[in-house]
Amino acid sequence: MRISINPKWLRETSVKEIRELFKSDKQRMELVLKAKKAIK
Amino acid sequence: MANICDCTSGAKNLGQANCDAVLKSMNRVLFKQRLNADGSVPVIDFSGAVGTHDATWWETYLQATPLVNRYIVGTDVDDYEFEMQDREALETANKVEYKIHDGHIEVKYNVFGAKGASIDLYDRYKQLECGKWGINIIDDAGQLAGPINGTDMGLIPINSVQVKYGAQANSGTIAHVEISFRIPFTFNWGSVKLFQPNVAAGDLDLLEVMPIVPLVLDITNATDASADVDVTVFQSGSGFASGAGQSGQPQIGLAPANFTVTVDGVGATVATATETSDGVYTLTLAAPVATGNVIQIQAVATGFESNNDNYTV
Repeated sequence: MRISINPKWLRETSVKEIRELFKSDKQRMELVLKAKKAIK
Repeated sequence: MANICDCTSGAKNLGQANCDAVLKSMNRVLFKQRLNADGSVPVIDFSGAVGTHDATWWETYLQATPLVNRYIVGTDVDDYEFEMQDREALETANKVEYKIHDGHIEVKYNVFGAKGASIDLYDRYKQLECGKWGINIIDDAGQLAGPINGTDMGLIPINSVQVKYGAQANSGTIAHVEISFRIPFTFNWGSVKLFQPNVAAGDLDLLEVMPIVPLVLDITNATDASADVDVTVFQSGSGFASGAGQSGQPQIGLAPANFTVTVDGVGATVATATETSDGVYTLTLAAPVATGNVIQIQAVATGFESNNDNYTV
């Protein structure tokens, strides 16, 4: 699996919103949250 | 349009300018439908100053949307033949020949792919047999040929298009597509001018112009209250896989920026694109969709463009 993230969306979206969006897929949620953390 | 009568202009001297542009063998063809979507007649606008016709300017023609407005690039021209036919004339009892009209021009060439032309390529060339088309020619010197009206370059009209497939044979023939058409006698070949690369901007090389590879995008699943939309993206091709049914190679490595998504006609943000296997993606939108929503998705990458696929949740 390879995930590509929209950087603009990532900047403008809160951690809470990310958790809500990916609540049914923990693996992808963790990858996106990790990317969110990396740009902070 | 043909010259009704060239005889009123008096005589013309027959010297040729030093190093005058000469049309070389056809290297590429730009096929264009004779009318744009809004009914206007297509022209390439050369009103800009010398040096402004760069690659970005050129893309407005080669990547125009909808497709009816696009100059569609055909490459790999080989075995090119161009022959102006004898005029149609009437010979009287006094053995005087009176011209009825000039002869038309027969054009024929073959397209061989690197490993032979595929049936899928043939199928796409067959579109030229439908509708009314015109061409501009890119020759081996990178010059662009077409009739000029002021600073506009128009299309060379074509008709009688025939597209045939030559299958691979053991006797030294490789698979190819044969394209033939006529330039009608009503077209004044003398009106054709050559746009020369030495007056283009530095980054424009018409011999580098490449055709767009069509992608087949299929939305396979989207459900109520979920932001995930599953799509497959494959290059249009002749192959067929049992079960999946996809034809060409999978289009790998696409990112959110490669997808244009609308939900009920309103643009939607693609948050992530997850490639679960080659050419198979889950797009996660910034907001969930709902039952009854109509999702439309197109994928575009450099040199590739898909259909717009629709899916009702």
